[in-house]
Amino acid sequence: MKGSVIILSFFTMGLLFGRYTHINEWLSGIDYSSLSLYLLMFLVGISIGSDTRSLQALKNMNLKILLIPTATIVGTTIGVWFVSIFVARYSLKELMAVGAGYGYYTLSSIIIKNNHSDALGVVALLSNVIREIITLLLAPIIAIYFGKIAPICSGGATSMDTTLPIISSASGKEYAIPSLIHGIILTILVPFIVTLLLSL
Amino acid sequence: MVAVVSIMAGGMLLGFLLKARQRVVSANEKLITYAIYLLLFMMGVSIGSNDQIMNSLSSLGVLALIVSAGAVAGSILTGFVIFKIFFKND
Repeated sequence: MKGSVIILSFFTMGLLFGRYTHINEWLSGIDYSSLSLYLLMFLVGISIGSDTRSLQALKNMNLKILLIPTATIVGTTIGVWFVSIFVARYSLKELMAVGAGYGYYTLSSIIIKNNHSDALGVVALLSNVIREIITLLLAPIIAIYFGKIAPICSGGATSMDTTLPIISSASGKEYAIPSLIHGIILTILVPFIVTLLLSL
Repeated sequence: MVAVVSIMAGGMLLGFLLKARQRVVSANEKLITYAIYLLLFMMGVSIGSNDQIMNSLSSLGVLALIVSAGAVAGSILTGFVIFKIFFKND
């Protein structure tokens, strides 16, 4: 919990700096956001590679790993269907297309913006950013109350990069490889599922 | 996407080679924590400086929050179910 509060305050600080200073112009030309992600990925790689349990976990889990992305897709569909009851502005398939970003906000919002409308594209962007933030903040709590797979499902496609470190620390390093594989599979599926839903 | 995966693969190879050196491994864990802080700060900056997002936060934001709450809650529940049935005894 302490970890999540510190993470939230860094995010809030960034939000305030981005809104009320010209920090983004000072940083312009350099994609610091991607660079810090690359740095993080490199460090997480070292962490996984130096842990003998990671490879062992992969050997033990084999095809069962595929159950995790399946659970995420089914769970997201059920959850979005449920909340669609309370939304009048958009239809079920439109909301499902937003949900099918699985946290991959850059790609899903562009696809939705191009195939549907700017407004739904913004919803997709915000909704999938929020999915990532919820996972970053709550992964430790989710792991305690709902088991070690639930933080991976909550993270969606981001479980391969941005939320991988927090999942790895909340669920244990032996879940880092399943989390990575889960994220890769969903990342590959996002453009297909989103396009399919919008064409229905 | 390709960059992220290959950078990570490189790190994994390096980690595999360095795993006997306990000091490097524990220093790496600390660095990960700082990298998460940096990443979240930068994410805040890019959202905060995007006027289109900041101005639409109130109206479309509520809708987005509803969808993400449903998506996350549903995913957590199915994740909980498969953990109980298939993974608990691993």
